Amino acid sequence: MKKLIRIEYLKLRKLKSLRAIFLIYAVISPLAIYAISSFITNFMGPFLPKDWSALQFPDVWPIAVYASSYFNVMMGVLAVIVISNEYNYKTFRQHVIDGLSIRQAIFSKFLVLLSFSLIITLYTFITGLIFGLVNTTSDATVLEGVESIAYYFLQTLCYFSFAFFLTVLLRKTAVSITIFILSFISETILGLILAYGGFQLIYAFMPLNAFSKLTPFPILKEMIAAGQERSGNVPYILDTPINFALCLAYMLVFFLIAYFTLKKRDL
Amino acid sequence: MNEILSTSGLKKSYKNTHALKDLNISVQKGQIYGILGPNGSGKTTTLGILLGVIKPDAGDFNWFENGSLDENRQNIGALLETPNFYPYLNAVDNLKIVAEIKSLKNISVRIQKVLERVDLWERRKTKFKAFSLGMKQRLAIASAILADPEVLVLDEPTNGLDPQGIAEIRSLILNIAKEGKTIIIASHILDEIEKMCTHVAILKDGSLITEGTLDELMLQEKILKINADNPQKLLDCIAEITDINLVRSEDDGILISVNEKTSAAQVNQMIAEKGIYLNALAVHRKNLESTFLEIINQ
Repeated sequence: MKKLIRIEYLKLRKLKSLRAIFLIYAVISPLAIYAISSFITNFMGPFLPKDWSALQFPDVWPIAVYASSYFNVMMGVLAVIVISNEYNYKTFRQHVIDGLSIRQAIFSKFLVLLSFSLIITLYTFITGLIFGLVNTTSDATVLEGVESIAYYFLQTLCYFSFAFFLTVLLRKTAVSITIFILSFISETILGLILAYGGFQLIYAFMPLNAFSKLTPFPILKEMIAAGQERSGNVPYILDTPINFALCLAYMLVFFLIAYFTLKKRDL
Repeated sequence: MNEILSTSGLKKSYKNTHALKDLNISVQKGQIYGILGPNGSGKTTTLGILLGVIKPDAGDFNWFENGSLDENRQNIGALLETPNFYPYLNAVDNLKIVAEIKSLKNISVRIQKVLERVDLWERRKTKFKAFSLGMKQRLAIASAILADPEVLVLDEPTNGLDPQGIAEIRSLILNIAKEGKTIIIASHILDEIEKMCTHVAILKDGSLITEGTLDELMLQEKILKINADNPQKLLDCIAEITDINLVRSEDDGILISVNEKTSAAQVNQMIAEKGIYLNALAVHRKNLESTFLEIINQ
């Protein structure tokens, strides 16, 4: 495994698009956390719980992961670039010729995506931690609500698995990126149509929606409760453990389809 | 151990096209083995299967007598179709990746050695995307010999190069061969195969047409150039003699082929017996091109 990590590091350390996307993430993600917390505090007053304190523990964690989740599409695009580069440069095939087994070549890509997930999750954790330590005035501890970070980690892996799956199927960078982005739009439109027809439950089980609900809008439950009182037509939200299991299942399916497609196909 | 590679009944189809039909070849240690054929004859498919990136529909192959490909990858250096490297990395960084894949020791020393050998050491910091086609091919050969393998597999190594580039690659390959390495080259450039290879397999439409040493292939028939005062009568006469085959008619004579044991005097006598007297008769040197075209057109 160390060998595969070293190989991937040698490949990626000078990739400009990777540096650019990580830099954008590093700069904008904290700003997004701050902006979203300000928006919720200033404009969503009627829905806020009594003890709400945006950038303090424990409320900072759901805000941090929700804000950071907006960048998952961008990170997914990065995953598409990194994987499709291997097709474009025919290096995936060359590595097998040079001595990697097909299994190792595929596993090395999984390691890259896992590393990306770990890096951005760690960054989000540190950002949330700093916001919390600077702003917390209550007795709340750092670890309260920190499980949101674990959900965020799974979410990034889920989006990466979807990007991996699409790239392996489509191979071309531009096509893969376009379909990846269009998937979010088309699933949202389909979700609205289903909701309009009263089929919110189906939408709750669709993959990208399920992924997004791992890091829901911080006061979503309060908003749903308010919506329930007003109209009764509200989004169906799966229980957290069910949604967690569902996302895990989707992630495994996406990775396994990609794996067996690559194993079966001529390089 | 003399047999480096043997294949047995290799088959591969793409939808309705039979890319490879029951291929059986054998490569011995120290040979420079050319796989020759027109575009689409199955050369790259053959090498792709032998290198483990294309799955055969049927058949088997063995490297180094009963060894599997995975067990012997360290002993095989290969370039398939185009040189495949990361364009944003320089020569050294690209070779470091190959060295890691092959789990090599003394990486820096090895890289310097192979880059010097292919005359790219001065350009070691240049990004791959800035390389000329010839430099890319040389880097691919440097990568292939990085682990000092026993066998080098090269697919169209001189494709797209200018004459100077072709000469450089040819010289490089011949120098590597002098070290006792076995080299397998696929190409459609007959001149290159003729100048480099000791053995040739000719493929057509996925089938092996013939296999042997260059001499064996070129000496199967003798080519003569003949002429007479009345070329048309001579052509009619040739058509009547079963031991003489017409190759083609040229401005200054007629090319015929006869069995290698048939002498020029016997040819002269056979034609004279038909009442035609030759005013020119010369043994025509047969090259791989004419052999190849005859075999392919049969």
